[in-house]
Amino acid sequence: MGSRAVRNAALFLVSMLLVVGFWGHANFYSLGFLPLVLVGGAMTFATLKVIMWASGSMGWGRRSEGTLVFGPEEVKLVQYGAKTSAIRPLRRTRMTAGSVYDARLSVVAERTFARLLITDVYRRRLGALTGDEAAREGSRSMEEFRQRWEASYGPWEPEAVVRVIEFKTLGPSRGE
Amino acid sequence: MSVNELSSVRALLDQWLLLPLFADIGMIVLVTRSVRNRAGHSLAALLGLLALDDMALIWPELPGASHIAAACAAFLPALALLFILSYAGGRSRPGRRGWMLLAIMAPPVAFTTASAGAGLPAGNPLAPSFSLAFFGAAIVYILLTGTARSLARDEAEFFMAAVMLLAGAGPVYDLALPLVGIDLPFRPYFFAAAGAMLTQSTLRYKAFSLAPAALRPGPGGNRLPAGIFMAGTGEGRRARRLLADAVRAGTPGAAVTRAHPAALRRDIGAPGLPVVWLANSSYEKALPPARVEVLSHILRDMGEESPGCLVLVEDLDYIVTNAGLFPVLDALSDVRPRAERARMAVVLCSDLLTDGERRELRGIGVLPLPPEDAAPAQSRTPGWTGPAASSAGGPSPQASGHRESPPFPAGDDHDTCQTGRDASCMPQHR
Repeated sequence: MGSRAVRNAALFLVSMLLVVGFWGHANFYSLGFLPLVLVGGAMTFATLKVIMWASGSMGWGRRSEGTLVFGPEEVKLVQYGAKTSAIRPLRRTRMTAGSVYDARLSVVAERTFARLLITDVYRRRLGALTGDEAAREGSRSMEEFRQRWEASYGPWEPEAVVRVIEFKTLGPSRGE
Repeated sequence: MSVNELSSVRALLDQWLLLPLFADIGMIVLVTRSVRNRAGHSLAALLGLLALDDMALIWPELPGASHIAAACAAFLPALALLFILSYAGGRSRPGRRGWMLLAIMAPPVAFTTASAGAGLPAGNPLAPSFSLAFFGAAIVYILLTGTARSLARDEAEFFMAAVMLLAGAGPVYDLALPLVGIDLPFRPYFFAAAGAMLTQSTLRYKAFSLAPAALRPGPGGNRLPAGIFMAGTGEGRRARRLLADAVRAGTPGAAVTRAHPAALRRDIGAPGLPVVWLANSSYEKALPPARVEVLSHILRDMGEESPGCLVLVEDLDYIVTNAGLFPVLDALSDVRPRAERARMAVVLCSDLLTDGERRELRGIGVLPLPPEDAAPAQSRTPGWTGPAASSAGGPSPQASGHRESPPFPAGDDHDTCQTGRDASCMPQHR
């Protein structure tokens, strides 16, 4: 709610700036209707594209490319940025750093609770994971991570290749 | 609308017309100095054409200025297509490159010759019509042949925007002029903007291009045939040793890795080894692993600049995870024939690929790394000179019409990925 208000305020500010710009270049009106439409339209378009690019780099205006599912106990950790990675079984689907994903609560279908900016994706063997990686995943120790893994995905196989997805929480999802 | 109404805008645009011309010339210098390959040459030619068009507009009193403008309109889509095909590479067949060049350049040459012979007046609508039709055909060709798939997402958008600018400010504007009636010298500015977009895209990958280097001068000793090889699971240490031995023996070498470049150089004892660092980092010298098309360009450049070099590509799983398997297969399919022509050996290494991914790689002609104790043997691929021939500086087996058998029978699977569990190829903790 708060970020939406900020976005709308910023958009209103930009709109006012555009009007000020046209006021400052009042002699443009003497050009006639068509050139004004063309030049003014091009300037407005360029300004909006710059804003979209700038906001896109912050993940605001970017469309979500998918969802990452989390358990209820992970929601707060993700929202407060204490959990910055997810370790998942290997899938063939492509996930690229820089893309935005919605965090979804597994028990409530369709409900998303945060927007995540993927910062890195790489593979590891389960047995090669370190305590640091477990901590980033939200576990206090490797043992805790192992228990959570076994509860979610079955037996612990050290040779199994997994995908480590590192992310940054951008804020609440659009539906919030 | 009368021209008088637009006089202030016209005066402004006229006043600064030299700016886009200087921009075009500056970009030509930048591209020719930085990108010494086909993509760079074709972009320089395109920028040269844009500069020529600007000059015809700035100095209409020059002899033949109107004919130059008409010729520029005809050649514009051809050179744009040539650049995109050179850059994307993708599915173009190297053996047909000469024919492609001929097929692309023949229509504008024929049109320009015919229109000059027919004495068509300057400003006739035939030239922009031809240009527009050619632009349409070029876009259809790029889409149908899958060339666009060899581009990264933002590259495809950049190129499409640049082509739209070129077509919009060129033939579309020329054809629409009698209808709209706004005759303003917008074109050089739009052309310069399109040129800047293409130049920016091209220079971006060049920032990562490194020439493979040998540790010390020597006869070279790349014991691998030309081609792309895949080290089995647990063969990471061996792959690094191959590179270290090669660069010490005088073979130019380079590495692409997720490990920190300094750590890799220290590990194999090769200070100064050119290393491309794969990382999803904002650090400008790190290549994001999803940019597989850039990696493809880098490998192609390495082959062209240092024939006979050895390039180690570690952490292929990192690239596959970020870019997807099929773009990686596309890129390697594109690199393979070039590597064979340049007598370059590319060694891929990863412990974390699945069996299916390894199968797919073998399917596009990636060979398993020959066994360590195998006697040096000749490649089944053309252009390879065996170590004996290369170290003695003698003629290649191909040159003397002689070909030895490949290091292992075709289809023989020496991949040890199912059995080996050595951790030496494991990604290091970074």
